[in-house]
Amino acid sequence: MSMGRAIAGLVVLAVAAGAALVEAAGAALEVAAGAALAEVAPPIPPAVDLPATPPLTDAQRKLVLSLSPLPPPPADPTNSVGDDPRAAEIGRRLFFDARLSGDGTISCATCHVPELGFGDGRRLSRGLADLPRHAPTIWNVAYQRWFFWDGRADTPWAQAIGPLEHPDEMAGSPERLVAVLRDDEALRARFVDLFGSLPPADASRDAVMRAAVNALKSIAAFERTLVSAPSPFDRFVEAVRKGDAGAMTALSPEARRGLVLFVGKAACVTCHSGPLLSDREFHDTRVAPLGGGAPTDPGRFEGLAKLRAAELSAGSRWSDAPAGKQAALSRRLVKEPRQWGEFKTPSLRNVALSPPYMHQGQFATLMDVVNHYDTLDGATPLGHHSESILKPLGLTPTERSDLVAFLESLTGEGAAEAAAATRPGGADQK
Amino acid sequence: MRRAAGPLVLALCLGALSCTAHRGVRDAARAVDKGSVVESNGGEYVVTWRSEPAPIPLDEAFDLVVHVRPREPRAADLALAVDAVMPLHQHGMNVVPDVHALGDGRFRVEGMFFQMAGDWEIRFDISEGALTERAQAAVQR
Repeated sequence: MSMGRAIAGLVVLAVAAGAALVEAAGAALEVAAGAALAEVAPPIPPAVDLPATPPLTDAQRKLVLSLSPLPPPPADPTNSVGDDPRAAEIGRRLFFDARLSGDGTISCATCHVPELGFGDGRRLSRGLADLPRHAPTIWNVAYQRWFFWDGRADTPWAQAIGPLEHPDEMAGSPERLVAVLRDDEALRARFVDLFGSLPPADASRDAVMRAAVNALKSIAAFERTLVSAPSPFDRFVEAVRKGDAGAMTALSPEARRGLVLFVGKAACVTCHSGPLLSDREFHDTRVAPLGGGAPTDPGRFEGLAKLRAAELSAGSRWSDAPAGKQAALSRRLVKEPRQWGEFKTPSLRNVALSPPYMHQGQFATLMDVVNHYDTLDGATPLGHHSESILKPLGLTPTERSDLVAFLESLTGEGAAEAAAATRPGGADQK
Repeated sequence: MRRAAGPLVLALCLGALSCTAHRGVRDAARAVDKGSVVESNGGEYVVTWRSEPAPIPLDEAFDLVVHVRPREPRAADLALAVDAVMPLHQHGMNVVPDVHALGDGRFRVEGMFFQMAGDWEIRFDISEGALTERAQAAVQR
């Protein structure tokens, strides 16, 4: 009897005798995930053999289904042009425009390189000078709640002013940004068409800021388009929902075993939850700083202070929803000692495209990341006020490889081509 | 699969004892979606609460409607502070909610936010003058 027929048989047994029998029989993941759906979608008899996978508990099965699909990005009420394709096109052009920087050599794309998963491939990024952190990918940034590793911005357009103005990154300014718009005929025409006017060179600071914020919101509109396509993992979950055992082969046996670990023994899903595979909040990963020694980067602890002091934010006068939900959430944020050294949980979608990993690029490969969370060898000590989520996992070498296989299955189909097409002259240029 | 009955019985007994010891927490967890009643740890106050919306959402702000009464009816000038923690993670919410006193022991708590899935404990700190008592309710989200 083929494994596929055996699985189909087990589904019947599971319905008749309950989940305990499924577990006792060592049923495949497909059975465990599909049993709950059997009432609404009878499983299609598989046409191919499916290698056995450890069983999932009901809770784990629910978790798997909660990880996919990735829905459309949530609306951003703070940015009234966030979903306007005209703004996105202006933003795309600005994103790749090095004229925004003080010396004309650095653009957003210097650190967020489409061909490098919208990261830069470096441990620590380099703008006009060396920077203290690794450039995070901006794939799926529209789903984030906080921006930068330390969350010091609460909207993507408020984030964009940070690197633009920082003397070590682009050393630009709102005035320079508006001047680029004014001096570029094509950009000026697009901007005036959408926003009505551009301030003259001798305009007030307020008028310049209004135009600059509109440009930043346009950059954010472009970034909102960077949504990853369905991955093999998404195809697998879709197949689980439909009870389509044949389509479950979208995920390799190794990746399927990795998924079981992800929601089970390894408990990665504790922080890498939801369709973004991130809780979008901040944690102490206990990763030692580059070069060793005691951690010196305050992370979220300092990010909160910077957010409160920021001129541009969801609750600022530059926001299109200053009394909205995001502004209320930011206003209520608490600053506590435990947040010292916490950094934002990155999304794992497309994670294989943007090594190295962690806030200083401490780990060159996904295996290095898995090894860290598995053993916590070399981890920074827990502080008196620290959260205590991480525990050594005791994974076998095969389990570690399976987890990496699962992480690699999260790459959206056609991601590299889609990223490259965003460049000026790329396939999607309008 | 056959299992030895002895350990099962023992586990059930221990479970029953544990449930008895934590009845208040258990009841609160079970009733959370439709509102719940918990007693403060010193036994001085009774806290009736429900969430809006219900059940408590994950990754989204929610409010609490709270009524605090002295166990023995009497006039009382009560203040309330509310927090929530994940005991297993040793961290709490990332926000401080706004507590609005509506009079007569009634409060509206705005801006609660559970940022992670798992076991939460909502803590109601009731102050009357210089004295404070805590009541807590277990919530799984």
